[in-house]
Amino acid sequence: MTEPHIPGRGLALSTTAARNRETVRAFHTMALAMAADAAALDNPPWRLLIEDAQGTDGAETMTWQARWPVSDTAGYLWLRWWRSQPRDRLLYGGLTIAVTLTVTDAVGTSVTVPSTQLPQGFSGETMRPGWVRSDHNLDAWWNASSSGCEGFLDVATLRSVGGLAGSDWTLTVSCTTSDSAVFLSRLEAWEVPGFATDQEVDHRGMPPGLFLADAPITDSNESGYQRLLATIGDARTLRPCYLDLAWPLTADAFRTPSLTAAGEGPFTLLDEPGVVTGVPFEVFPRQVLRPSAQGEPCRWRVLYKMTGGTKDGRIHVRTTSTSSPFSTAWLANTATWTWSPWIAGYLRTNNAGPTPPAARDTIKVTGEVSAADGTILWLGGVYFGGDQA
Amino acid sequence: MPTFYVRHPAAGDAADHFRADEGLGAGRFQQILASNASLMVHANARRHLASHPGVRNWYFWDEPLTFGTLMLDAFGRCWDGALQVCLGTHYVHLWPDRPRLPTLHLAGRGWGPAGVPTEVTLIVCPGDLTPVDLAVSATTDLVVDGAAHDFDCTIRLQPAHLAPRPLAPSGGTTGTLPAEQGELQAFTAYVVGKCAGGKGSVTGCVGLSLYLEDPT
Repeated sequence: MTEPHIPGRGLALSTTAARNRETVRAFHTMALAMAADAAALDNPPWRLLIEDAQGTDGAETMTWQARWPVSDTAGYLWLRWWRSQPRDRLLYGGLTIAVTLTVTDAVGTSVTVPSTQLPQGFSGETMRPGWVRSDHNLDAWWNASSSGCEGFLDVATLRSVGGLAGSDWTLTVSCTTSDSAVFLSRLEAWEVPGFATDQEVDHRGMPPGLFLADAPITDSNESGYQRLLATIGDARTLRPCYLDLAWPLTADAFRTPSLTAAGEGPFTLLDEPGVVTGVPFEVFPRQVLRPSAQGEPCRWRVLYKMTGGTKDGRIHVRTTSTSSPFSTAWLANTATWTWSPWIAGYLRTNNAGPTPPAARDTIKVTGEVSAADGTILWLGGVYFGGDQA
Repeated sequence: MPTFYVRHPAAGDAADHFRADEGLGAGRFQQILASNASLMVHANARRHLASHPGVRNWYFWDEPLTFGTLMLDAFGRCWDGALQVCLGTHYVHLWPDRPRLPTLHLAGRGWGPAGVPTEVTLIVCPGDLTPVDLAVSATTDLVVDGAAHDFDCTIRLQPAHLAPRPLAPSGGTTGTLPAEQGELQAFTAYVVGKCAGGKGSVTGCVGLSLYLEDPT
């Protein structure tokens, strides 16, 4: 049984509507199913933004990589990229840009070009930005970023046809440009809210119609209270995405964070005047457990490599949790971009905040090399997200 | 509103209260389910939308702030001058059990030359529109003493700030008909800034974090 689901129709749910020694009526359980569906399907949390502050420069290929912990309840990923042209180069002809997407799972199975699983415009097709008349009087931003490509990835098909397994996937985006007069303005992605419930598919909600008045309630993986319980559990185990940053995978200090010092310190591009603990990213932790100084369980990992020396590197994340800081082991020197193992972390949930009950916390990323011999530790990406079991 | 998740035996567990042929204590179990569902629908609505490392050493050409001309500098590249960051297109829903939209919150760290007025603006445009069609903006003055300080911009989203975005997702280019379809209400967020110090000003707007919080 499938039923349409309209995201954003969360309803008031009384915890005292049903009482002992009083009959549970259909509308009680249907309301529960609708609330469970809203919790599980309306806000799949993963998203990605790669913005043009680190754009391509000249005729070159630039690559970014980001971690995608696929939400159990996400059916599709929406993707879009925009190209951009400087205003004084709008009359250039013959410019080209091509974007290639690869999706890889934790054991290295990939869906890459050519594949019908990838949307148009993400398969390395050479795109030619249009000519613009010199008397074009539209807004400069509009002119400069008005074209790109948009599409979807179907998670179920990536699994069934593409052979991807698990839920710890990586997106690799490469952009090839013919000239500095055209560059990747931004790439953005988010998991699409569910527009339907389907009792025959795991993690796809609870059709409220299964609780019709006068119909028997049958408990199983597909219906009844067990399905309702599982749907609420799906909502709980969604992994809030607090930080997902990706820099160009290059050894260029102007584009990609790096450090060379022994002893914990900030990466370039993640530092600020007079502060040695790095730029704090403020986050609003999702609160599932009781508020506490240790806080909500999270996990994180980083993409790194070394150049210029033989020393190892280590990366730290600091929050205001009493368990902070959280650190990788010493990461062996490697000249290849490598993801660290998953590291456990926490976000504190009892800080004073303007919006009780949840308070805000901060995430800072720092690092060090084992000795200053000229080794440069590069940071290509950071993912920090919730990990509620 | 519930404030924490009530643990109970997992579905399928030998102690699962909801397994087949098990009598229901209606009130208690309904209350646990209602409490947890209500908690999670609120908790998951507090969604993080975007994070961005930010921009350094930006300056400003135009005075006063006019959105149509601010967006690109003379070279048309944001990283070569003006503070101009697009934080992406995002969807929002009405807040659970309230006929209100969530509050949009931008947090970051900023600095500017001592004594020189420096400000950061969060712009919201309906759907995919660009800042010339801005629906609403919020500006904050940075503390300018040469050091970095926290800053916040907050916008109470209203229906006029959004535009419908129909979606009929179908993976890749397989040509299969969409299994589901619907419509979301979306906006695009931009961060811009100005510094009266002109070219060469030591400025920063970093650690950008955009997220939704409870309606205020």
